[in-house]
Amino acid sequence: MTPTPSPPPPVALRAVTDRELRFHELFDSNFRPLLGYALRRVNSPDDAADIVAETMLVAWRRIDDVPADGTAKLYLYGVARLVLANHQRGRLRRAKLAERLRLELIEVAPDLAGLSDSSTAIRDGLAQLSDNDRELIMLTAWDGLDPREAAVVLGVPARTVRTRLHRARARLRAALGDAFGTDGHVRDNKHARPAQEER
Amino acid sequence: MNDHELDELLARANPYGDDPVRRLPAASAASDLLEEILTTTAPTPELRPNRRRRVIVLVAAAAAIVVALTGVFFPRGNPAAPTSAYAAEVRAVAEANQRLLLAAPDWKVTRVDEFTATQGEMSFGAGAKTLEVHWYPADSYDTYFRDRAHDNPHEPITVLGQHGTMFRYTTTDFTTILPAKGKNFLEIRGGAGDEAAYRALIAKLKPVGVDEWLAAMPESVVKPADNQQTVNAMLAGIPLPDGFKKAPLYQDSVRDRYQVGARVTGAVGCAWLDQWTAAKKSGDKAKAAEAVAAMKTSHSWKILAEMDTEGDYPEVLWEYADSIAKNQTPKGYSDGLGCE
Repeated sequence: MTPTPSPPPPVALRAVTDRELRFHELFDSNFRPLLGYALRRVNSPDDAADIVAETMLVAWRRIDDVPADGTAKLYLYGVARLVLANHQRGRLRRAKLAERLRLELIEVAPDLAGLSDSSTAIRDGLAQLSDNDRELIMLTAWDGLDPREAAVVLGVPARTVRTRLHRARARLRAALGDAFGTDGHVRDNKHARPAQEER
Repeated sequence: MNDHELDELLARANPYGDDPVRRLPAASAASDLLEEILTTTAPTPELRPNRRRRVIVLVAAAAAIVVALTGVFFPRGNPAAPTSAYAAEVRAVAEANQRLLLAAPDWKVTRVDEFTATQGEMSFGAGAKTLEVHWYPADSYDTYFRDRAHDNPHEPITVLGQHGTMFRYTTTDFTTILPAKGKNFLEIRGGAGDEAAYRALIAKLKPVGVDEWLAAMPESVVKPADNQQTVNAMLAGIPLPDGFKKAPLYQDSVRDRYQVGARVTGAVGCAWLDQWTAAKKSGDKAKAAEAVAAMKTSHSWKILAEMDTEGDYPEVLWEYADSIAKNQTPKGYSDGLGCE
């Protein structure tokens, strides 16, 4: 009688778990939106690569916390926001994970020098806002979220966000101040004034 | 500039629209990243919660400590209890902590947060260099140690006469955990340059007394001695309901102005919202209207305007004010504002 062959060593085959499948799906659907989120907020693609890597690592380790109700992207943006805060405190690790992504992104840095006057004025204006105001405007204007979705990212009640957004936009307008004429066109030699002046 | 024009300008200033991001040549890097994430043993990045959550948790935690300490040190009705029990309570919290200062020129305390017997943090800064001292509950030592030790090289180190462990996150980011002493244990994390600079810096940490520690606080931190004055200044011009007690707000604490502001405006807001809720129940229209009118003024409370640039507490309070103005129940205000 032929002896029963012994089973392959357990390390040879790695079963793909439900959690892994779920993470695969999460990663595939959200990698590019998340990369866009990161690229819009940092000056170098290197940093964006690290933010994506760290955010996705958090999502994998906490996959059971990631909502399954279609708001996973908002959850990821919320995590990325905290990772970004670490980055601003000089805490972002140069993740080994992100090495290849860093290499691929190196070629794609935006040409900030080539920005139009109006875009430069907008970026200056945004820079003068509080972190919360700026993030809210970016989430709605650049990341394409509606106020209800932005509220999820920021962890505040949706009703709060509408008022805040209105005020943040008013502050941005004030910060842009004299940089724009009444027709919305940029003036050449004026720079935005500090947002604080209007408070 | 109208809304539409602002939207157009914003859209034009977007450095990476959706289409350019879709076209980025990152597909193979993405698969690599996915594989690496699934297999890496790197520690999960630490994330700090946002400020609003922190403040609300802090308010709740502070209330719990006051209750606990009142029970321990000054039992209700104890005739021997000093009239200014709060000062003693906060001193007791301070004394349970390992108060440290840096004996290094140019280094100053830049921030203090969550001042409790078992948890808190303070930052020291000199230019772009920082050193943070955290204290955590003694019973969470193992959890923190395991987290830090996971995938980070570490070695024994002696700091403040204690044998601890130093972990290397990067070549310029180090953290040291010391064994628990009393109710808490210390973690000292620094980005002060290379390892030699970190070691030299933490060797300059020294334990100090309560008074010396408080005297080193930055101006934005409300010191116990100034607390009553600060609270009164914050309350100036704010309408208070009948029977509102200021005394509990004078409780000594070490917090920055944002947190004191949250405590003060939260107490007033809670009192008015309580009055509105009770008045709606009993059908007292005058009292309900009084609460609505008072809360409407919150939009011009100076301290909220100051706090609004830093965090979301004012927004939350204004939302409740707007709710009752529209005759809507301010759902969840007790949790939202940290009502005691």
